[in-house]
Amino acid sequence: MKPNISRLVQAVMLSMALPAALSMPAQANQWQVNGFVGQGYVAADGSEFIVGEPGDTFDVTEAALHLSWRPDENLRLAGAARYRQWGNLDESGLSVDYLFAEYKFILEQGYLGARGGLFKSEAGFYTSTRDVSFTRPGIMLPQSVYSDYLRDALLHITGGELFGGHPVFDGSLEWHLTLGDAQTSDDLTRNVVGSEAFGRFDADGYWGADLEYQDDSLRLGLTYFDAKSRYQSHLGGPFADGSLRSKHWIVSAQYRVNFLEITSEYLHWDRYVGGVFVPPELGILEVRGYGYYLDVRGYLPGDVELFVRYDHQVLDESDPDGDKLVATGVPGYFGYAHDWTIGTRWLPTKDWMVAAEYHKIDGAAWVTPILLPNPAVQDEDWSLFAIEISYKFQW
Amino acid sequence: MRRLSTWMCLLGLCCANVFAAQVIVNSSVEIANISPKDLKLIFAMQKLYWSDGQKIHVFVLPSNSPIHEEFCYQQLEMMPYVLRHRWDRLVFSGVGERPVTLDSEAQMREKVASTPGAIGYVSGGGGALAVEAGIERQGGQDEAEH
Repeated sequence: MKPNISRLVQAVMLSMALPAALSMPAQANQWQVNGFVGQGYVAADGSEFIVGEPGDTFDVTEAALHLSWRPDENLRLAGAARYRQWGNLDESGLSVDYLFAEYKFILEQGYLGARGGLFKSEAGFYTSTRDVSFTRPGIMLPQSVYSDYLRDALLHITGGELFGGHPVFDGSLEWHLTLGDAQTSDDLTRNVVGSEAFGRFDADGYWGADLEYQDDSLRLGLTYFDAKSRYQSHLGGPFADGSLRSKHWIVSAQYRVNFLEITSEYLHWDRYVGGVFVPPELGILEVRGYGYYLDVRGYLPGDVELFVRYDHQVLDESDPDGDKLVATGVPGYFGYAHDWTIGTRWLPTKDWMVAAEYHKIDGAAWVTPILLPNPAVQDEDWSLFAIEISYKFQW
Repeated sequence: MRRLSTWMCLLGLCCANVFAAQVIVNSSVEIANISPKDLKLIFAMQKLYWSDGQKIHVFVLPSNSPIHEEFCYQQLEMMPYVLRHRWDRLVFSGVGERPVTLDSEAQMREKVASTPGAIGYVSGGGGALAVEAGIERQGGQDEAEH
């Protein structure tokens, strides 16, 4: 069990104690409770990504319980506890997913709000709900934009944000301005450098801004963030002390017409690495890379979704085919990944969902551990199959 | 059965107003009419306050109820799953709330009548967007109607 279980207990106690403490009459619609559980199975051929050595795994389990309490019309407190095991990417454990207070000011056109505590990043269309099967477009998010190895570093923010929502044209425009620290964990350390025994990452500042417009058929988004972390090495490890800074731009667009939905997102990053694997004489190493995907899905009668997706990532834009990597002794296919996916989601009732997908992948840019690629267990051409059944509930 | 009802709703969309649902609001909401655009924003939980600053309380019937499906297709011109996805996103990211789901039309009338700032819908009414005011507080089913 992780140490943050105590934070979870605190959160639950806080949420129980507050209404009583404030002597608020509990009205049914002041409280909302939502949750879900999901159990998956993943099998890979030619890779240990998610599945580890055996080649397949049932250790793909996710669950969360979300509480929202609105003591008055402007103030809201929200908290969620999460359990997640994602093969070898995310070790099992309970943790606090978010816990914050927010206050909304009413404007003539829309609202303005402030939020403080631990909350989710709103980068791109799916970051804030990436751990929930029902709100992801599939079992595995397009890794070009939502790489699982960086999930930890970019998902949870401790700090504050200003936000707003305003009617614009036929829809609404929402924005966030965020300042704080991105949470890090042992999962991040393991997925990037290969082992917690070598050292650890700690958050060192985050700021971000995002803008999203949504109407009936169109959804457009723009995100920028700048996340910094420090790496502290342990004696005897292969890496040195250092720092990592990531500046990300994400442009998102979705268009829906009748039963067809087309989604595309483009991510461009600048990463600055000092130390870690960069010799001191080289100073700060700057790496620019990009990723994008195009997802086309049909919503068929009977609550069945079918989708096909192409997902493309290049780790270093000056080396799209990995030629420079070869010079360092690493096969070039660790420099890129081209993933074709076909998948389906079926909701036999509104609470149950069965999802299945098949990936055919050329390259291994986002296969963990990122800094220690291992060609002995990772092929250039590989495939992955995943199936998940989920249930959600609400009170 | 589900498939049939989906296609029937699509058919309904083509012959607008044949099965229209009726939007109802609490009498505290001083509004004569709601534009289709505002109605969509309200039920997508994107518009949260009435123009006088009062919080909007949104009530819906279960996703698989024929009235809800009719309401989505005809008044919101939106497929029910699209709404459900938007609510899920708000709820599971923590940044918002979903509408409160009620079991029956009788409960809908009662809740809308007794909750200041409330909006919901019931079956009947030929008009695409007529707004009827529920009687505030303790109305019960009969008083809540018209």
